[in-house]
Amino acid sequence: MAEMVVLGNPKLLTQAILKNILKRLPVKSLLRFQCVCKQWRTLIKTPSFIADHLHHSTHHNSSLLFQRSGSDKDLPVDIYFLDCEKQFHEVQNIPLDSSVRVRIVGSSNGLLCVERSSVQVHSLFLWNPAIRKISLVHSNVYDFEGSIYVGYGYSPIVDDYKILRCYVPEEEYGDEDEVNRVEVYSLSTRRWKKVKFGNLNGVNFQSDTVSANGAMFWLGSKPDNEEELVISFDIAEEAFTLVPMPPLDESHKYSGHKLTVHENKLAVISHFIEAVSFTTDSWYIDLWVGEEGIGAPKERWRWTKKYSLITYTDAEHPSGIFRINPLCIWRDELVCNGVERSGIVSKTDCEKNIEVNEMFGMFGETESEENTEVISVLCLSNLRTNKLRKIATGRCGNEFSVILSHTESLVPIDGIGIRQVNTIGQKIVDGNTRFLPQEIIPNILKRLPVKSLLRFQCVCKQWKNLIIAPSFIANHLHHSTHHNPSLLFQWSGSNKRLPVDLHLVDCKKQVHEVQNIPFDSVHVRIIGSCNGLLCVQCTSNRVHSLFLWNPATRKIRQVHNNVHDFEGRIYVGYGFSPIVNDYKILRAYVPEDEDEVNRVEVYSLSTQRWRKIKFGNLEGVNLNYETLNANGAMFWHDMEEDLVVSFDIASDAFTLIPMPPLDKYEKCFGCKLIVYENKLAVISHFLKSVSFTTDSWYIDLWVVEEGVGVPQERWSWIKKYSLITHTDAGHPSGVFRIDPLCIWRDELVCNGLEIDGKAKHKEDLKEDDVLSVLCLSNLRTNELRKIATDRCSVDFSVIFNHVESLVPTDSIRIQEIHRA
Amino acid sequence: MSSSVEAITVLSSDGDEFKITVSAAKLSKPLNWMLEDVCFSDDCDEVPTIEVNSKTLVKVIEYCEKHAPRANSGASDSDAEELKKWDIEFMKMDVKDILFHILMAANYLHMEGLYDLACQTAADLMKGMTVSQIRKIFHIKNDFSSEEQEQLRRQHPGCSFD
Repeated sequence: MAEMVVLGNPKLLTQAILKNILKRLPVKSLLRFQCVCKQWRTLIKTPSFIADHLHHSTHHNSSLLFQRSGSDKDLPVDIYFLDCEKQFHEVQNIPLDSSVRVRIVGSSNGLLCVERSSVQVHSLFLWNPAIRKISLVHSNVYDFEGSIYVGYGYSPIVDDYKILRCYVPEEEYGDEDEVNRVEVYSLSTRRWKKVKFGNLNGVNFQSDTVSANGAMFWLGSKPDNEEELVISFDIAEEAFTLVPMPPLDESHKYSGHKLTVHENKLAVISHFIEAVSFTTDSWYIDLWVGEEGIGAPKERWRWTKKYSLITYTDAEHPSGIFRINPLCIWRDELVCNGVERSGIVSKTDCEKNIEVNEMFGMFGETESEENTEVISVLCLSNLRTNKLRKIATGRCGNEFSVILSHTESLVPIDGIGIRQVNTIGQKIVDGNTRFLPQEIIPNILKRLPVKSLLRFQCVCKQWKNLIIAPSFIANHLHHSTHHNPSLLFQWSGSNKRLPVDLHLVDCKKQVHEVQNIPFDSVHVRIIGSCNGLLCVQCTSNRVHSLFLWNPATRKIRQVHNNVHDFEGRIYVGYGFSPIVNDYKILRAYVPEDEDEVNRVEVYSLSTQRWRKIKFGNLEGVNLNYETLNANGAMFWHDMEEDLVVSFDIASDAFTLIPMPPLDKYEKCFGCKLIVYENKLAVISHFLKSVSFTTDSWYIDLWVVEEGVGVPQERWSWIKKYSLITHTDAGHPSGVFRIDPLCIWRDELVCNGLEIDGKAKHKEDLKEDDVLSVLCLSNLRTNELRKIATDRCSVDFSVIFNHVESLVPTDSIRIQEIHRA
Repeated sequence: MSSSVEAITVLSSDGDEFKITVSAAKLSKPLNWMLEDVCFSDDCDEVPTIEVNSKTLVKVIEYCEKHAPRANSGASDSDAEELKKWDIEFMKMDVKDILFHILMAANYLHMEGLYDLACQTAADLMKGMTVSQIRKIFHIKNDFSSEEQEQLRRQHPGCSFD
């Protein structure tokens, strides 16, 4: 065996590479690899990975699932699957008892819909055999006299799986067997809903269903004029359409046709067998593929004859298979049910068949000693080469009729948080409603502000579904982060009695008031902002509580478990890690009589739980109320020990980072942790007052880079900017005593002082005459620009880089946000 | 491709002939492939058709010709600023009449820059629009039932369906 290449710390392989490798693995291996490490476990569970894996498997590893009805095993359904290398695997059996009839309705994205019907009870299950999960779709049907036709499929447009139940009651008199009720179950809402079916008048169903490209299909017929047709149910629109059948060759004697799926499109296989002798047939097989265009339902469908085969089969022929009956298309193979004569195998064939028999061995004794003359064979006929290949043999006549194209996937059966898979070949249902192609609309909408998007939810259902889809929220956030980053600051000096008076500076430097936080004026503090979601801390009456607030969508949610009556300080941190795709909040407790942290807990938004965290290396370290987050970590500045405390959100571990080599003046004057291009940075400044209103100031920006190595040596600080400038109250800008706060885009955000215009020419200035100013100083041009002014002594120290987003406060099912 | 050719002729979907310089045509991936595959020369009879109507194609070619020098050589900041201003002027057009056609043409011709610009322009125009204006320009039918409208209103107070 080849030696294993030890990859070492999985973080050394970038997330993207790791994902790209893992998505090529079979589900079985992935389930095993969940135990490799936490990062892998989290990765394998994320919806975006599940979707990528599914997408890859659909295109590269599509398999065939079939049911053997003739085996002796006492199983409700005896299922096997054939992988893309044409190897067999037994499927872990469905955990249902075998006393009642069990039927597989269909397979979509690896998720099977299973129907169980006894005399009184009709129930439905969703089953993912690869991850061995099954769930009952609630509400069984009891004591229904008649037939229930079930359909199942997935629509990428609404990103939802749906199950359809059509009820056809048994009529005592007459031969009317029409649908009298149709209901549809959506996996995302988990509800059954009645559906209109006006156009199904006088149409009879056949029970076999197929699903392709966001629709379910049945063969149907109109008994009035014996016309055959296809009943189509669009999963996104929840509407039935009647599709005419392709112009099948009437000159042949009727032999049969079947609905199937070819390249995710509806197709019809028709076949006609002419028996030349008992064991020799000539067969004609046509494959028709339906294309949906624009226009009235009757005229919208165009059928194209894709293949037309004429072939002969003969029991004397090497393959020895005859009576071929096409079942479906899988990859470039026509899957057929055929018949083979048992026993009469010539010697040479015997040798050939040894291998084959070994393969059959797993099915038990197929070539039994019973006196059956012929055995049933499942075989593949290659559409290009016409080569016939036997796959399995069985005893009874129609043993392999239940056969499905299938993809093994990790798709969970409970929450369907799969982002849109496969947009190729999307349907144009109505020329008018889809005036612009599907892919253009999201590209326009992602550029709009949240306010407009909230309004445009009312445009139509399609837009509403788009705007609330996690993939769109992620795209919108990604675009906004890069093109519309804004600045959020608290204006504490205004006269309004508000807990936090927030204002937002948009990318055009316009100031907007933010819809107020819906709290009473208790002590409210904003911990931080991440992907548009703010973490807010409230303290009142000895209760310490935390909230998540998206001011753009105006949604707020309390993080459960308040802290009551804690004597001491609680330091809170907040951040998002793209590696685990999770937001976390950290609480560090420092009791009153001690100086050190004695308990740390972390809340994960995906699990919605608090968890205790080890903090061995925090000994002798002081945390701080001021915190910030960047690149998957939270940071605090320990001013006494002169270091940075970092908490990695993915690995839940603390690291201590040394400070950059600042010179003495800067150290004593002040330095501040900030975020620069999603990296931790330190801004240090030193002011030399020339006079009361004139200063010369020196500002340095240091950015940290994380390398490889032991924690102490891993960090390298780079001086990015070094500014020397002068400010003067007499200067046109009139701003002095500048104190840098943070960097936003290419601007240095500062807090400064200004002399009130009215008092400008007074001889002796009082404190009241000086105003506090929030200003931006351009890093390239050095231009100073005032944003807001306020009474003195009030400063704008509470300031955050922020982005307006649609990120929900409750379920955090955001797909991975690309790291720049 | 023969290097002597400086401009090629293409047909619009309406059948009109247009000249486009080779450097400008390179902004579109499909056109670029075509240039590599087919030998364009004056005696070449075959004129490729671009499935874009004449009115739109004029604008698309105008954009290509303007942006081609910069895309091919790379330009200074001041040029970029000037080009940005030109883009803004260029995009002053009627949404329904031509902007959407440009969007589709840019999508079809794989022109990233123009596609981004057109999407952004559409987004900027949409920001201030009411829901009913949006429905009108996108030809969308209001498909919410009255209960669904009621539910949405409860979720987002102040939202309007008109």
